Amino acid sequence: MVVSTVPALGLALVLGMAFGWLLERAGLGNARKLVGQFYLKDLTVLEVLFSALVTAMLGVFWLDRLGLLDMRAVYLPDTFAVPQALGGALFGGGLVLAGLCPGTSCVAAATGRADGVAVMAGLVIGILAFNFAFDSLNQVYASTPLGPLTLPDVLHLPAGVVVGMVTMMALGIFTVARRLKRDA
Amino acid sequence: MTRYTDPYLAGAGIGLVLVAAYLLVGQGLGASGAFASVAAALTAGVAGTARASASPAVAPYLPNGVASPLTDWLVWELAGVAIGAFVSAWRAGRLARTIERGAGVSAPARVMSAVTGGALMGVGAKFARGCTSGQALSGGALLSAGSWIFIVTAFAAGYAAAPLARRLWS
Amino acid sequence: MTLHAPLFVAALILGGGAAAIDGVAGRDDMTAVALAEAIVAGQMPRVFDLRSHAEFETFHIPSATRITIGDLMALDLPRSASIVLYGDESARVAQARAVLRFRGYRHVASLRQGLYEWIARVHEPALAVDATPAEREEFDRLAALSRYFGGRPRLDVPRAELHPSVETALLVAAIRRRGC
Repeated sequence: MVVSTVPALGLALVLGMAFGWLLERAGLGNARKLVGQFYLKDLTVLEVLFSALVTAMLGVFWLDRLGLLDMRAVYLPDTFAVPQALGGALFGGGLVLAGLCPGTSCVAAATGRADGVAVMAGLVIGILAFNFAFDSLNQVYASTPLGPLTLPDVLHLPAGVVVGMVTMMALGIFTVARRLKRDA
Repeated sequence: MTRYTDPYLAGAGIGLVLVAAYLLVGQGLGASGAFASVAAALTAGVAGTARASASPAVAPYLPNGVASPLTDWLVWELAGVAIGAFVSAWRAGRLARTIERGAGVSAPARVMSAVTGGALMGVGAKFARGCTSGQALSGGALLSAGSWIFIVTAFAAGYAAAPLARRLWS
Repeated sequence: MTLHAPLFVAALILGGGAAAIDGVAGRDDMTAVALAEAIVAGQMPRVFDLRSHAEFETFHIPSATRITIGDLMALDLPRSASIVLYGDESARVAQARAVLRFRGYRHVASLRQGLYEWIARVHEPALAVDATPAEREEFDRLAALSRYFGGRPRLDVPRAELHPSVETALLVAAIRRRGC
């Protein structure tokens, strides 16, 4: 689907509404609740992120194997090992300072939180700064391009096996999380 | 005020929304790209589209040399996120004009850290080609290697930085 | 929360099932390059194309014959014959493999990435503009293979365009984007 057409943009709105609704329902529009993840006080971020990831991963895998979805038609981001590792580190540090990520900052702002608006402003500032300094940053930014690389490619394992492994890992994390919450 | 929904239920719901996105649109959800679009439009507005298009960082967001956040899929998605979040908070009695911060933190200090953290995330998201929605969630579900690199480094950095930021949240 | 248990069990079954279905199938997958080399070496694997007549006519792997699941149920070959399957829908390929195995054929492999892999690696192998010596060596090997089958090796391809888009209904152009 060409994503700038009206039907696609309409879908963007609808999917976004569902996403925003669910994020708010889970409490992730609240910076204090979100940041509790990194102080091991409130594990909602991990629980929501990984249960969403596993649900989508299993959904995509089985729809493909049942012939209802063509995986090759779904956009798979390219891997750039070094810049994505660096970007992740910067992002994680920023997340602990801000208490909200780009998506949840919109949730927070929409529910009246001025700190959400502040994070959104910060994001734009950071991106402007990056663009301004792009010539010096480009060497790192464009380094280590590995193409549409997947974990099955890296591990030399069939996709279904990796799907199973990720599922088991997530279920393990959830078990620990629930126990931590019960004993808290 | 309604209680928060069970995180696993909410997560599974988000996962289903993501599958719908793959199925109906051919791509996953995202967020930081929308901010990049807005930044590009601002740049074009201030420096003119010619100069903005000359920058390789900004050019991808100016198709045909025109600043077009209004035709950017992610911008519409985030507009939806805002609407959905508003309605949910309204129905749950959680709308509040406030600043979420630690008990001992002043509002200006919180706002400063929010802007600073946001800026860091903005830079990080550019390097990583995405954020928690686009890379960790959407890319992670597709088992993209780079997305999983992002997940690991982002969480590791978060936990590492947490002790240093403790004062901001207590 | 009482809903956790069914969600947990569902994830367990679906995740475990994923590993099982691919874990077993994985061992029976073949790469397009290995198939090409087998054909060149004169091993004469029976290559079956599970797609439609129109798709087959547009392009198919040299030496392949078109076949349906129905044909496979009546197929009469020595049970030790080497068979390679490919198609557009992974479900149909999986079904075909299941039928053949049930009927006693022991050497059934499939091209996991179907025709796309054949086109990208054998029919139109591409050499990047800034290829490393190791990549050049591999390309030379693939180019020789490609020419055997009347393919079109491509040189001096910008690295971002290494995966070819071909005028067949099979390939979906990768969406080059700047990130999410």
